[in-house]
Amino acid sequence: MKLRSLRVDGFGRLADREFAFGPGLNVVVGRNEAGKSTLAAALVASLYGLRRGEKDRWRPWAAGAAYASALTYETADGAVWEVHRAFDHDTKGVRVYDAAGADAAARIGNGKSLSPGEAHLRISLDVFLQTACVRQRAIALDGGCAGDVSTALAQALDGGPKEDAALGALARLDDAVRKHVGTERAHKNAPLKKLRELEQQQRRAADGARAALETLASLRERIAAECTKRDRDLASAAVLERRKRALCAAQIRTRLAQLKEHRADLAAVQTARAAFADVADFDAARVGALDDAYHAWHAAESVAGAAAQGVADDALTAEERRELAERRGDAGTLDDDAFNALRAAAAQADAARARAAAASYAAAVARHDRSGSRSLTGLLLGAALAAWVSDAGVAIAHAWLWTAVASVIAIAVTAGALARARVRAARLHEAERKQRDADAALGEEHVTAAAVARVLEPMRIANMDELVQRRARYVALLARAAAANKAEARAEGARESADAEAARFDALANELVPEAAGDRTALRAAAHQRAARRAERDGLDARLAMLELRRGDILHGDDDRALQAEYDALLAAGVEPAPGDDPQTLRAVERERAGLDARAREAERVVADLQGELRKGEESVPDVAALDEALAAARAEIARLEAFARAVQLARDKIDTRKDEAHRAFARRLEEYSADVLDTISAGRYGEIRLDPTTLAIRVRIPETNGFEDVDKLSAGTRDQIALVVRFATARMFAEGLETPPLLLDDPFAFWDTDRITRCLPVLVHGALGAQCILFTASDDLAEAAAEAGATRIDLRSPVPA
Amino acid sequence: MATTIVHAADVHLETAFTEVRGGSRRRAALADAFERVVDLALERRADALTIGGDLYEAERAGPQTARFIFAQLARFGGPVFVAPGNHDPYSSRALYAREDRPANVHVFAEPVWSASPLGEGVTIYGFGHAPAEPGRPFANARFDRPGARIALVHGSDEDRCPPGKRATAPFTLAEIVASGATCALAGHYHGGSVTADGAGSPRLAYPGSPEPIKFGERGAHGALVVTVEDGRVALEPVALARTRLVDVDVALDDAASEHAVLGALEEALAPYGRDDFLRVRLHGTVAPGTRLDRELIGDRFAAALGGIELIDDTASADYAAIAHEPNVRGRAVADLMALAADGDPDARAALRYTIAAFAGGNVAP
Repeated sequence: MKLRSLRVDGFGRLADREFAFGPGLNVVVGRNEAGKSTLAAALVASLYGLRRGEKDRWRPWAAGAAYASALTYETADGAVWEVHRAFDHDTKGVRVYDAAGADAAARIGNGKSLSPGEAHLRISLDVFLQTACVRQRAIALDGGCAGDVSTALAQALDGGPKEDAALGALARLDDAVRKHVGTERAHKNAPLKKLRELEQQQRRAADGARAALETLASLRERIAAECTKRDRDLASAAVLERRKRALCAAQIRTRLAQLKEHRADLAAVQTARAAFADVADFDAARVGALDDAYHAWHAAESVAGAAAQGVADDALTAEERRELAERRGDAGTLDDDAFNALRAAAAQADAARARAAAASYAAAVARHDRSGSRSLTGLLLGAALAAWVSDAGVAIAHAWLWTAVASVIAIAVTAGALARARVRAARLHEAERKQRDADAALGEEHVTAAAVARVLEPMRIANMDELVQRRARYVALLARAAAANKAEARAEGARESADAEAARFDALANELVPEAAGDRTALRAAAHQRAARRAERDGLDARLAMLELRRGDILHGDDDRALQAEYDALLAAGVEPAPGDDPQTLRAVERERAGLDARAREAERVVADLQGELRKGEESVPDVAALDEALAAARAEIARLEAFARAVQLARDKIDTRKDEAHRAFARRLEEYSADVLDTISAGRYGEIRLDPTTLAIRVRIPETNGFEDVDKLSAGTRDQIALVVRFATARMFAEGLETPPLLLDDPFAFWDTDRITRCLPVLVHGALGAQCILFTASDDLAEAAAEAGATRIDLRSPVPA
Repeated sequence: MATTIVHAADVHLETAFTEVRGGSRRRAALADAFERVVDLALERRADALTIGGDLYEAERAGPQTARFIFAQLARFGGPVFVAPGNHDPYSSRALYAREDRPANVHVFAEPVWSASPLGEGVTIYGFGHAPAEPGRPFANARFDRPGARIALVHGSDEDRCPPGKRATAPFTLAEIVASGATCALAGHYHGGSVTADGAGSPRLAYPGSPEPIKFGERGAHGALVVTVEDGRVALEPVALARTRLVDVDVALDDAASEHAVLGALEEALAPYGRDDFLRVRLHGTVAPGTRLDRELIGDRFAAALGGIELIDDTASADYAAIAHEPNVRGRAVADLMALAADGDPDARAALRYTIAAFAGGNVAP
């Protein structure tokens, strides 16, 4: 930027003044309080406006003077701009016109405020003040603003003004990607994501359409396959049909032959059956009853005969009847009780007699025994006496031992003799008692026998045994007479039964074979003969029934004439009956044929279904090509956006890389740019500095130590020298990337000696690398020297040059 | 007596046109062209119509395509011989296998040569594509029937096959001659051509697609009228195409505004009409910030053209000069120019976007 002129209507002590500036070094000379700083402030205010709180500071001193200025400057692109400011109206009081006089506010404003300095220099007021403005005795950069200055320098190195620099370029590229491509996570404004979604939809649609065509092709394929299968089945079915018809014809032929045979059989049976018309009504079932009646009659007759024989056998003879009459007169007079009592009395008499005999015998025996016993007892007594005598003899002899023995024997013999005597007495007593018993029994026998005799005597029966015999005979004759009576009664009953059975048979026979004659056996035989004929007739009937069944089997519900007609039709249709008529073969053929028919029908149904499906599918065949084109268009658009994104990313990478390099390098650049100037200004003493890009702290190589020292350790003049050099370098750097700001040096050389100023002037004239420099000084010498070096002199004491 | 055959191939019905918009119209144009092929056969009273494959694209063809094709072939009425190609191979699912195929259409369904006599002294030998790669059709082919032996096939003439492009059912003129074929009527290449032997007799002929399919196709687009007389074959190419695919370069040097861009385009596109589908490459250096709005250009010219596709190769600055700037922009531009020189496909666009980004202009695809 090159300031051309400034017209000040009123600004501090300046009023109604106009200044013209040269393109290089300008020296504004004036004594103290002449308005140098006011002019510098007016220039800054014209470019950037007044800062907050400065409005009253620079209000015109002159009464009635307008608080306004008009600055004309030229930017690096050759454009000329004119800024009019009415400071009382703050931001609203600024107007910017281009060379043609057109209002350029819209072009350089940012929408809120209009700051031509910021718009054209592309650095903020703070950075402008820190880099381009050197206030009195404040040449060094303000470390407090180092960040802003660093950023501005970096932007300058980025290759463009603030909004066009690398950061801005990167931001615009990022914005462009966000706007035209979007991000995967974005929900709104994500064109690529939406395109991909669209591409997926279209791919699905295209795939679906292709699948629909495939489905149609598959359907056609299946239809063709089903038709082929159906046609094959139908052809097979036709073959089977021909075979079936041949087999049918053969079978009908066979059935017709069977019918013919059946008819012959039927006629024969019917003829045979006619011969049995006489037994048509014969009830053969009753022949059995007749047989039963016959057998019952025969059995009854036998029974009656046997009974009659029994009567004859059991009847009493005349002798026996006389004897019975006799016995009835003797033994029969006694009833059973009397007879039994009589037999008991006879038995009692017999018993008494027996007892009397036994008792008599016993008494005799006893008496005999008593006589025998008496002899023995005497013997024993004699022995005892002898013993005792012997004993006494021995004792006398004092043969004591023998005495003892003799005593014992004597005693024993004596005891024996005594015992024997007692037995003899007992036997005697017994004999007497038995004799008494015998006497008593004998008396009883006499009594009883007398009683029996009193009964028997009237009957002239000698004894009881005879009575018993007669009684037994009487009983037997009575029993036989009773049995004869019973047999006679049975014979009479049997006869009656036999007569009844004969009557029943006769009645039945009369019903069954009324015309028959003869005895009952002959009648029965006649009945049996008729029954046999009837059975034969029934057999013929059964055969007729079987023939009927056979006919049914042959016809199977058909009509024989219809069967014949069918056979004739088959022959007429050219069907040649098969050699055999195996029904199983026919059934197998029919089954196979039915299976083929069913399969053909199924295939037909499937074909119909598939054709329906095909028709339906063909009604809405998608335009695959159009879908493919839409898909390709979407993919092309995606590719375009992806290429855009790649290209933007590539651009971004390169810019970012170079930006980082620049940011890292601006300090080195500043050092390089400073080196030559510093060498000139310091007369070769200092040629190398180090600048901290963050704090802007400056260090300088000290020749004596060859090391870098903080610039604060140097003299104030040297420090100002170096700081001024850095400012020049800064301006130069701005010139590279941004609009070069004019350098406003407000009496910076207060601490400089003449030599330094002398050395500095060429730098001021040429060293700022084309930057316009406005040096404010109170030194006429400096102004003179600068003017001689080619600077434009502006004397605040002089009228403004035209 | 001469036998006349009309030979066409590569109609590519139902193809998808992805290079430039207007696919529906172009597909309709393909159908019209096929109709004109049949018209030609009727007009020339052709004894047969031969189709050298790729009549349609199987992956997109449906019943409507089949009905159209069959209606046209039935309209011709005479014998039609079809040798399916790689885009319409014969299978049980192919349109050719439909039951409603006209009786006058004979399809060579197998990838082996089979002969069909056509009148007296002319035999059509056909070789059809199945879905599988068919190999070299003429490798072991021997045609020995008396008279003219016309081979109908779809495949690549290896002598003409562009380098790097995969050949389909390849063959050479020498193989054709060795097979005994009088002349091979082929399909595959969309630009028509006739190759003659040393004696000047045509031995291999591609009719070209009746309408152009893709940009860059060289050769005629139409059908061939083949006349066979006394064992000799004469070919007459008949142009049938109505549409054109044209690459147009429009220089936009010094264009500083969208208006100037549109003006240059109007001037360059003035010769073209509704049947022309253009691929327009914009090049030259336009002033920084000059808008090139694709949608606007499309809207402006779409009505007058069949279709238009833009390729923006313009530059918005003097990249070489900027590359010398000792700043970030200059270095970044220099880097990108180096990449572009190395063939990076994105570098030129990146250059444009870099300049626009630094200039504060619109960065858009």
